[in-house]
Amino acid sequence: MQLGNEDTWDLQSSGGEIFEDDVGIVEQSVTIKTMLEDLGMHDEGDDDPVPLPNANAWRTHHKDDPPPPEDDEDKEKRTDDISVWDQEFLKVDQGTLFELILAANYLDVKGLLDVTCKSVANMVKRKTPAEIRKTFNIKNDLPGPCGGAQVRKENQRCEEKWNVTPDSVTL
Amino acid sequence: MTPELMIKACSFYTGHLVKTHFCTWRDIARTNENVALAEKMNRAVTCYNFRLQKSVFHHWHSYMEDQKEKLKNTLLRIQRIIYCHKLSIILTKWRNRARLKSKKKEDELILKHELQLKKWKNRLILKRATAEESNFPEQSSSEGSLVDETLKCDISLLPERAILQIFFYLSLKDVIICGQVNHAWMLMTQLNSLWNAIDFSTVKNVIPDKYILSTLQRWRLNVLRLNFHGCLLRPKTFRSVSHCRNLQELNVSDCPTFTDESMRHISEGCPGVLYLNLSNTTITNRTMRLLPRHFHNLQNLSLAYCRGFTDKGLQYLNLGNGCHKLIYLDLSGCTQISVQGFRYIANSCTGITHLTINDMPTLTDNCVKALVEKCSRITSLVFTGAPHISDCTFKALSTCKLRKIRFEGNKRVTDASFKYIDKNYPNLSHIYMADCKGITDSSLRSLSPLRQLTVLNLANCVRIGDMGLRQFLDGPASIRIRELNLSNCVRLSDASVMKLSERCPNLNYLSLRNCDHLTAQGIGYIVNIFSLVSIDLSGTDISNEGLNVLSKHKKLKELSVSECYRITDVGIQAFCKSSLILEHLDVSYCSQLSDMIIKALAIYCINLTSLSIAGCPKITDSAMEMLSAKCHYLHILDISGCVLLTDQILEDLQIGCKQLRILKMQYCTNISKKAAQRMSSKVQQQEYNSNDPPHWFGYDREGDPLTELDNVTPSKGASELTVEKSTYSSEEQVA
Repeated sequence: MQLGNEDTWDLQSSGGEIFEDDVGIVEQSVTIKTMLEDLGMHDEGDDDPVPLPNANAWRTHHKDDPPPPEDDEDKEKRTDDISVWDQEFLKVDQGTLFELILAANYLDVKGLLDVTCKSVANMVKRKTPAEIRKTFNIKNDLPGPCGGAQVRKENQRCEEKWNVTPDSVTL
Repeated sequence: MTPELMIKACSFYTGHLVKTHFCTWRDIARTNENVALAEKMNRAVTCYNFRLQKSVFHHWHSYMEDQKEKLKNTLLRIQRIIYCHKLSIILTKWRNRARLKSKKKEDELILKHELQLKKWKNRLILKRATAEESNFPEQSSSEGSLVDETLKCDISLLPERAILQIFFYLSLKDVIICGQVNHAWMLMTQLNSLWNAIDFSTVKNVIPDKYILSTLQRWRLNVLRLNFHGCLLRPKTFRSVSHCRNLQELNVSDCPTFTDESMRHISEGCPGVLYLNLSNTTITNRTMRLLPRHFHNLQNLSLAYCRGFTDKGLQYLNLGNGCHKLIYLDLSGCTQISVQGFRYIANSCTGITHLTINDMPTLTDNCVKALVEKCSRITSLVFTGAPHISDCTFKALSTCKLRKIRFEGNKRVTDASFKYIDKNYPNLSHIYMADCKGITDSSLRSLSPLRQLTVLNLANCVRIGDMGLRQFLDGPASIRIRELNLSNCVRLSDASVMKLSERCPNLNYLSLRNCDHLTAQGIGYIVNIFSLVSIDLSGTDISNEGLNVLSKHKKLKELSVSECYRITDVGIQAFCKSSLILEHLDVSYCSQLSDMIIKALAIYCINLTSLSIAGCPKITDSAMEMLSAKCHYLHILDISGCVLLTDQILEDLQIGCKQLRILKMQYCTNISKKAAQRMSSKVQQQEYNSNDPPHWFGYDREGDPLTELDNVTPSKGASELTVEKSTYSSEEQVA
């Protein structure tokens, strides 16, 4: 990582690619920002490459976003407000999506982490356990009704709670 | 010889001598003179010649210079002409190429559109076919899972922070269901920090009290935030909240069973509460007595619509240490509080910074005065629905460092309030003064020095004109302004828009609804506001040309042109063609529009998330099919009064627009109740009825425009309808 032109940084991805980034883009990532601050803006010669998966495209797109209009409504836990660009961006296979989450987590890009987690949440939302297993290709390794007491209790409780009247649940 | 003769002879002789001498001298002198003259003459001639030459040369020189200049000019001109010509050639070539390219792009888009449409139709046919053979879909899905086998992605392997973030977006019900997926997922749902916040409001009336009790019991030490909004719980359940010793936030708004007794238990068990929302509960003065005694750190308190306590209760707030750490207070709708009550609040809660008092017709200047005397840290005020507040309040507030004010429908606030605004509140950033008829141009002038202003909402302040806005924008306030709402400020004209385009580099959201003095020229200026993202031009005189001009902006994401009767398909098509990032479009009550606009939307604006075509009677099923096939991101759709639409569109929407959240379809006479009911389970919010469109829609149930004569018939129809309804209800009663 080294200082490029006046307002740009050269970042090297783990794949060896070199990105030239605006300071504004770089600072979306808290990790890199703190690293820059630790180094001091004029230090050079740090050889550790920063792994940058395609989180870059996302950060470039959102650099100049205008802030949303001010609303006094309470912020809800909504998952349906992912912007269209983001939805297109996240139209990737699960593996890539998970890598993106890891990258966002590592680089500490809050907006990206939010949006990726939201789309994972959307995959889980309003599904039955069997459907979730199918979506993520997971095997059911939970013991049956004769298994561990703790699990059984938990299961029983849930089943009683939810499976008796699944249709009456409207959220 | 006499001497006389001698003298005579002598003088004669001398005379003669003199004469001859003189003559010779004269001759000599004359010849001399002649020579000199000749010489002089010669010189004169040469001099003259020289001069002549010089003047001729001068003339010639200037002539030559002129010629040279002329030559140069002509050369330059020729060069310029050539350059211009070259430029124009290049330009035409470039334009042709650009045109070709855009045409190609357009063709591609159309081709893609048609392809996708075909695919959609095939899918539909397939779906219908498979609906008959129920086994097929299962097979295909199992194949799909086989393909996925190569990928090993398990949420439970993610870092804890990401897991928490994912579960943050899931409701309690989803979390419980995730616990049943497998062992790893069950362990994941048992993360302690996952249970820091529990929102029971999403599952109210679904889970019985005993599960809430057991959940609270299990996670009692982890729970920090609890939300019981609207839950109908037994007092015993509320009492169990007191076991959550680390509780910081509690929301029991709209819980009719929440009583003083529950509050007593909670206050004894949870001393660390910071946020308490008691809105619309039946609490009385007894609860008020508990607040300062047990919650020493209370920061956020909402007592909105609690009518059970009195001024006396507010006096209790001063018990013990008082609630001096309180930052946010909401007293909306507590009409029972008198001036004395506000005095008590002021005594006990001196640290308030955010004050919200909505729906309070009894709020007077004296109340605010009493409050402000002690609470000088107020920075944000929300007083919507307090019509008796006047300029005196502003005078009293001059000691506070206000940042945000929000008033609505207040006729007593006048220009006097804003007179010294820049001195009193230099940090003001958010002004919301909708429907305050007392505000005129001079207020706007007073606002102009505010450097921090970002949001200004003066909707319905009808007395504002161009003059005031100009003076406002000339000040430093215009630099940071981000949101500007000037709806119904009917006096504004093109000059204001021009000023906006010159002075507002950061304007993102602009509403000029019902400013009917705007002309095409004014709309041309809007294009120059480069930062603009959203524009509302509903009810203006905008025509197709205006939309054409607006299409050059290319960065607009939201456009509202409701009730712009001059707009036709051509204008919207042109706009859509160049606004590929459009997300919100409102063309309601533009009754000339037909299926063509939906086609344009489906081809160009596939990012659309919100669409209103209410009151467009020409829209048909095929258009909606196109919309469902292409615009998969649609969240909000308003098709009220689209009388030609049938049940078919609901089926299409269900398949195509899976993200649809809000669906409005009032006065859709051809959509059956049954289909609407089926649809209602797929969306969060739905409005439906199949009545005839009211006559202000301007057309009847067949979509034919109403004439003046017809105006009488719909009312008849309506009366018939009411008669029908009444008979129906009476039948019901009989049954």
